[in-house]
Formats: sequence, C-alpha cells, structure tokens
Amino acid sequence: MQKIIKIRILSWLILACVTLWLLYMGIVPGGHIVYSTNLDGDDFFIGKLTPTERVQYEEGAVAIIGDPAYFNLRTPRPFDRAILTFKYRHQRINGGFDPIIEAGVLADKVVWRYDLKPLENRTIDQLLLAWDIIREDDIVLLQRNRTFDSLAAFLESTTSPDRIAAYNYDPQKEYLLPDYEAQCVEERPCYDLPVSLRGSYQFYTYVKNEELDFRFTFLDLNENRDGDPVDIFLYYEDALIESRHLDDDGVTSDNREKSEERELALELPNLPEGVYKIEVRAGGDIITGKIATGQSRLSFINKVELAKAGGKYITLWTDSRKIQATTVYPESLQVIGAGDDELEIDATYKQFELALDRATTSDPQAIFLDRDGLILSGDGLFAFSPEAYLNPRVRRVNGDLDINGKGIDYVVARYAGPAIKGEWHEAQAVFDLKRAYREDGKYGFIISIPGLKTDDETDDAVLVGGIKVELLGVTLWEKIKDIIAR
Amino acid sequence: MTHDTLKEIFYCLTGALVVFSGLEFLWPDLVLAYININWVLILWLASGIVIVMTKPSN
Repeated sequence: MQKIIKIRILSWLILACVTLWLLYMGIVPGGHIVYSTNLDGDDFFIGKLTPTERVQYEEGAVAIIGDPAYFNLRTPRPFDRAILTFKYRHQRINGGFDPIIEAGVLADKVVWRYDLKPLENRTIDQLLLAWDIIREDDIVLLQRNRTFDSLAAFLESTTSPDRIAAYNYDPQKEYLLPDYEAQCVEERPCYDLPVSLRGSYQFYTYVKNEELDFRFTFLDLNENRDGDPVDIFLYYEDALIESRHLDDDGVTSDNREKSEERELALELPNLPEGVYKIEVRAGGDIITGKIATGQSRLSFINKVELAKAGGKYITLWTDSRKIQATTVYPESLQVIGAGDDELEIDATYKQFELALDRATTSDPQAIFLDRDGLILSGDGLFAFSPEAYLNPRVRRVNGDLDINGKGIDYVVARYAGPAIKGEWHEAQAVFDLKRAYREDGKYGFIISIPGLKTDDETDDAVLVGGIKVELLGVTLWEKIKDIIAR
Repeated sequence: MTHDTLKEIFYCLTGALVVFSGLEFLWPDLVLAYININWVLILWLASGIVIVMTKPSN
C-alpha cells in the first residue's frame, strides 16, 4: 500500500476515533461518569465557586469566607443521582467557628429551594464521641443514656418530642393537640390574616373534627416579565395529598399594572386529625392579599415576606433563636422590638440579624414591627398571634441548639460525617437529581455554612481543596429497552 | 514532511472542522467540553498556508 494511502487511512481513523470518543463522553452509555476539580483553573463541568464577594481565589487555595457559596455542574445529559465529595478544611484565625456545613442542589427555581444534605455537623460529631450510639444503615440514634436497643424501639416509643432533636431526618412522631377544639363552628371562614404576603411561603395548620378551608386572594404586580402561576400544595405526614393551580393573569410583560384580585380555595372535609402543611409556590410578583380560613392554628415555616401594603404595628410570635430581617423599601426602615432587644434596620438590601434570648423558654416570643415591607426569616416558626402558634417539629440540631440546656436526651440523624485525611476533611452527600432543577444543561449547587460571615471582623474561612461529583443515571441499554417498551 | 502528507492532514482537519461544528450545532457543548475548535481552525489554516507556500512549481 502506498505510504500516502496509509497516512490517509490513519488520519481519518484518528478523526473517527475522536468523534466516537466525544459521542461516548456525551451519551455516557454506562450511566456512570465522574467529574472533579481542584479549583486551580477553569473546569468545563464544575464551574467556579461564586459569588466573588464571598469566595476568594488565591494562588493555591480557594476560600469561602461568607455563606452561602454556589457552583454549577454542567452535564451532557440528565442523571438520576449525584454523589458529591467535598474536600475542605477550616481556617480559624481570630475566632470563628463553623458548626455546620451543608451542600445542596437546586430543586425549585421559583422559590430558590435547595435540597440540602449534611457534610459536617460539629454538634453531632461531639455527641458521637460522648453518647451511646446505635447506627442502622445511614441513620444514627444517639442517646444520653442507653434506653432503647434499636431505632425501631425508639421510634415506636412515646418519648416526649421535647427530649428529641433531629438532623436531616424526620422521626415521624405523631403530633396531636388533646385540648384542641375547632373555633370556627357556626360560620366559616372566620379568620383573616392581618397582613399581605409576597411570593412563596409555607405554613402548618391543624384540623380536628372540622373542614380544612382556606381562601387565598392573589394579586399579580406584573413587575417581572415571567409568567406568574400560583400553585398550592397540601401535605399530610410529608405526603402530598391535594393541590390547586392558578394560571398567570395573562400579562407576561413588566407593565407594572396590578391584576384583578383572584381567589383560589382549598376546601377539604373529613380529614383525619393532625397537622397539615400548606405550601404556596409563587413568584415575587404575586401578593397574597388575604387568607381567609376556619383554621385557628397557623404557623409560618422559617420565613414570612410581608408585602408593602401600608400595614402598621404588626406583631409576630416566633420560636426562632435568631431572626434575620431585610427590606428593599426605604419607607420600611425601622427598629424591630423583641423582648428587651432591638434590631435597627437602617439600610435597604442588607440583612440584619438579632439573636433572641430564648434560653429559658420554649414559648414563642413576640416581635414588634412598626410597618410591613420586610422579609423576616429564622430557624423557627412565625405566627401572627400566640393562639395561632403551633410547632409540630422536633428540634433541629443546628449550631444554635443547646443540647444540655434544652434537656435533649435523644438525637436522631441521617448523618455520616466527614473523613479526616491529614489536614483535609472529605465529606460526601448524595442527591436525587430526578427532583433537581436543570437548565441549559446545568445543575445548581450550594455550599451552605451558616454563621460564616464576611463582615464579622474575623478571618475565619473554609478552604476548599477539591470538588468531585460522581453521576449515576440510566444506561444506554436501559434507555433503549424503555423506548422499545413504550 | 512531504507536500502530499500535508494535503492529507489538511483534508482531515477540514473533515474535523465540519464534523465538530456539526456535532456542536446538534449537541451544544459536546465538543467544546473537551476540544477547543479554535485550535483546530488555526491548525487547518496553518496547514493550508504551508500547502500553498510549498506548492511545487509545476
């Protein structure tokens, strides 16, 4: 064969091999691929940690100096599961302590909800050294003094929820209020929420020998271009049992013309007694002008965004140990009162935080606002009257929980903890990508380190040594079988 | 390297450009994740220029 023919065959063979290899890497026929980076350069698949004001890229090290940080993972196709390995170490120069590090994948873009999983929880790590341990699969039961011999025995027991704390696990303890009686008997609904809310929110309510009835009144501000549908989901024992949908008002431009008020009802008779969770999922353009209900118990979960509707002298009750407040309206700058403490909100677009003195009581504490237009958040629940407050949750093992002070005797958690490799820690978290949000071929990830702040006059940071993501999904053969079976 | 060999490389790079651009059009980022097509284009141009410059006189 002539030499030139050999070169021709060889060069086209190389091109064919490269093309086939590219297709192989894109299709991932085995359903398994690993991407990793040590963050010392641009990686196509694992993007840079952002934002720049909270992440410092220095030679040889990447430091997260504020909470939270984000990165994107670009994948050639969707996958079912991701195993994230995060390599890091703590840097404490003047104080600073990061009790919890969590990673999450973006699950819902409308409400920016991340499916968070633990990487490190210092409180549990310390209890693992001191308390009795029962480990079953990935769940660990920690007991101050050994009372139960198995997790099942603990879950079946009637241990008071006040003595239990949980982390990344719901012990599914039945929560009933023996003294509860339906207040709205003759005419329903008989309660109106005294404020207007903006965007999405979630709350607990209680039903006993009565109908569950809520009538929401929504208004679309049309300040953003996107459509603004509203979805309402009703959960019982963590399972979705009912939903309602309201289409956008038909205006998908940002003309700033308020829509007509529209009502959406959620009415269900004959429900079993217990706690129900209602989630209202809506964009920032949606104002809930009114919630009329027959339920007397209503506790908002972790956050309430009070719309600017001219409301004054609002009182909320919360069991949060810390509250954060933000406003985007200059007219809503104010001083918030909480017990003997005050929190001055003197700038817009800035988050202010107040630690509430709650060491001696588990009752909710009142927070006094001069006017609405605020976003209030915390690690607990918010109610608009002490009578409306209910807390079906067991305590969460976060950095603020005083285990001894609160009389906690049992901690149950789905937690493995980091492996120590020299001066580095390596922690893993598994994510269900089938429920994750993927846009333009990217999944959004968050690294959450509550308490790590850029403006707290300490030089604490979490140094990142590398990120590895192992992806698992359907194989090419499974996909073909699925197509044939249809 | 002979003129004919250079021509074979040029033809193959032409094919690579067409195939990679086509793949990238049909499946965004499939090629760019691993190969910078700009370098393929530069190599293709360079080989073309060398072929023109080293073309035998007859």
